[in-house]
Amino acid sequence: MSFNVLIVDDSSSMRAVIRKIISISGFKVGRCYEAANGREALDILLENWVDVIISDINMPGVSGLDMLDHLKADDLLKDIPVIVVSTEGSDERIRSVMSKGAKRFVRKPFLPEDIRKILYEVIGVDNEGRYCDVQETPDGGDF
Amino acid sequence: MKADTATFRKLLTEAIFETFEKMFFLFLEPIDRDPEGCDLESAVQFKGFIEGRLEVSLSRNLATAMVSNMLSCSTGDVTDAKIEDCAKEAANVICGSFLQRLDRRGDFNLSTPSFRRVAGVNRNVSEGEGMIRICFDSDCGGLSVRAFVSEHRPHPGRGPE
Repeated sequence: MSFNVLIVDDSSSMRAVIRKIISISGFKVGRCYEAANGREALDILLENWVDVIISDINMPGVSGLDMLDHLKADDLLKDIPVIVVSTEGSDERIRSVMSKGAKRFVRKPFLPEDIRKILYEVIGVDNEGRYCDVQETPDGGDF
Repeated sequence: MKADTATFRKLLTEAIFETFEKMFFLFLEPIDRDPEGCDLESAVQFKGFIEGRLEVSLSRNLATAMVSNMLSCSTGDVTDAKIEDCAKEAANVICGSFLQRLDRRGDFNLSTPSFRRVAGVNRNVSEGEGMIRICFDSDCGGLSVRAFVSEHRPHPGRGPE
C-alpha cells in the first residue's frame, strides 16, 4: 500500500528536504505533490486524492491556518490528516492549529526522525506500510 | 531592556546553533568581530509578546554550503534562487526558535522573510540598547546575526524558560 502526500511550504528548499526525508524514511509514497501556499494546495486537492498533508503556517496568500479552515469546512477533505511544520510554535499557536483540525505539530528546525515518526503515527501504519490496527489472520486475510 | 541583554544573547546564540546544526549540518564558532565578506542578508520582522527585526548576514561561501548540505546536492548545483530561499528560511527558523526560547507560551507572528545583496556587514550599527549582534566563523565562511528589539512586553510572572 502506498500513500499520496501533499507538501505545502513557500520555501522550495524546505519542500525538497521534507520530500527527501519521506523518501528515505521507508514510507511508501505513491504521488508526492507540492504547493507553495494554501491556495495551490486546495487546487491540488480538487483534482487529486491525498492521504496526508504536511504544511507550513506562514505563507503568502492563503496561509496554513486558512487552508485548515477550508479543509474543515469541506466534507470530502476534512478527514485528511494534516501535520503542521512551522517556526511559529508557541503553546497558543499550537492550540490554535490543533483546534482547526491539525493532527500534529512539528517545530522547525526538526530532525528527519521527527517527521518520519509523526508521519507514521498520523497515517497509522507500521514500517512496512501496513495499518497498525489490522489484525491479520494466519492465512494473511484481514478477518 | 539592558538587564535582558545577556539572556537575549544566550538564547539567540542557542537558536543559531540549533538551526545551523539541525538544518544545515554546520558547526559555528563564535567570534568577537564582524566576519569579512558577508554580502548576503536575509531578515524577518516579528510581532507579538516582543517586537522587532532579525537580520542574518552571511558570506556566499557559507550560503552555498548551507544549500548544499540542506538539499544534499553538489555545490555546482547551487543556484542564486536556492541561496535566497535558504537564507530566508534560516532567518525565519532562527527567529522562531529564539522567540520560543524567550517565552514558549508567548504568541507571535513573523513576516515573510526578505533577502538582499549588501556590501558587507553594516558596521555603523553598534550593539547597545535594543540591539544584539552575534558573529560566527565556520569552515565555510562567516555569519553575523543581529536582533533589534523595539518593544518588550513581558507577561506578568513569565520569564525565559
